[in-house]
Amino acid sequence: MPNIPSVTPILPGSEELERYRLLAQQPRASIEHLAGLLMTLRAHAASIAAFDPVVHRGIFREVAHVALCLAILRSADPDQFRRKAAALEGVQFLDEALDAARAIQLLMTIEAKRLGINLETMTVHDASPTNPTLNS
Amino acid sequence: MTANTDITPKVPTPEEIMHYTMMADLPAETVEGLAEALLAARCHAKLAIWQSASARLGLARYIANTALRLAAIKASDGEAFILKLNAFRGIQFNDGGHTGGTIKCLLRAEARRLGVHVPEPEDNPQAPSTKP
Repeated sequence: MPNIPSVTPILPGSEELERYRLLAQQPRASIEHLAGLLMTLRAHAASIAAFDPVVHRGIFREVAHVALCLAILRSADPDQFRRKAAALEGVQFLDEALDAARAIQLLMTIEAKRLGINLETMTVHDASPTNPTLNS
Repeated sequence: MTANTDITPKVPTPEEIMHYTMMADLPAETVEGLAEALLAARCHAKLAIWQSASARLGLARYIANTALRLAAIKASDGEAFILKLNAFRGIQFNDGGHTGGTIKCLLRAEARRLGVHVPEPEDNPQAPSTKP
């Protein structure tokens, strides 16, 4: 078996410490917070600012990240799950984030089963060659 | 479920646009890059000098986020998948097993797709197999 990595203590650099400090300042992840954040990102994606290809790519990278973080959170009840599903429904993904879209699809399907919810089909649709979307 | 079509366009603030520009500049995520980032963060977590609770919290969040992204990204073949497995080896999350369970679920689905055996804790941890 090649290259089993070892986890040995290493002192983080100042840039890494700053990254950890910034992450610690973010609000605690909750379905309500992340669903709201995702809807804000989607509103930004629908604005004229997203005509700029760089901004467009940045928004959609953030969308994929937030959507994945939202999908992993455990819903306390069916209502909370529906809130998650509503925020995720119709989200578009860049080609590079198609893996995240499929992971979200899997996680949502498993959670729907756990909660006894009929999610119908939550599948990744390729609305255009470059913009697959997650629909239910 | 009804179609979610009520997205009202909202122009981001200059600060948000700057953040998106920075996000766009980041290199595309790869299994290798995420595995390396996860291992580096785990090495940082091994240090016993974390005096700041805030830094500890940020590091824990970084590890969880990176691990999740690594679990979600598709491995192109059995070798890349084992690289992922190795980066996760021995990782622990302090959230009652939810993150770990989710990652395991994603890895199992990928193992099925690739026809790779995922070692359970009782298996030899040094020898994940690429044989179907």
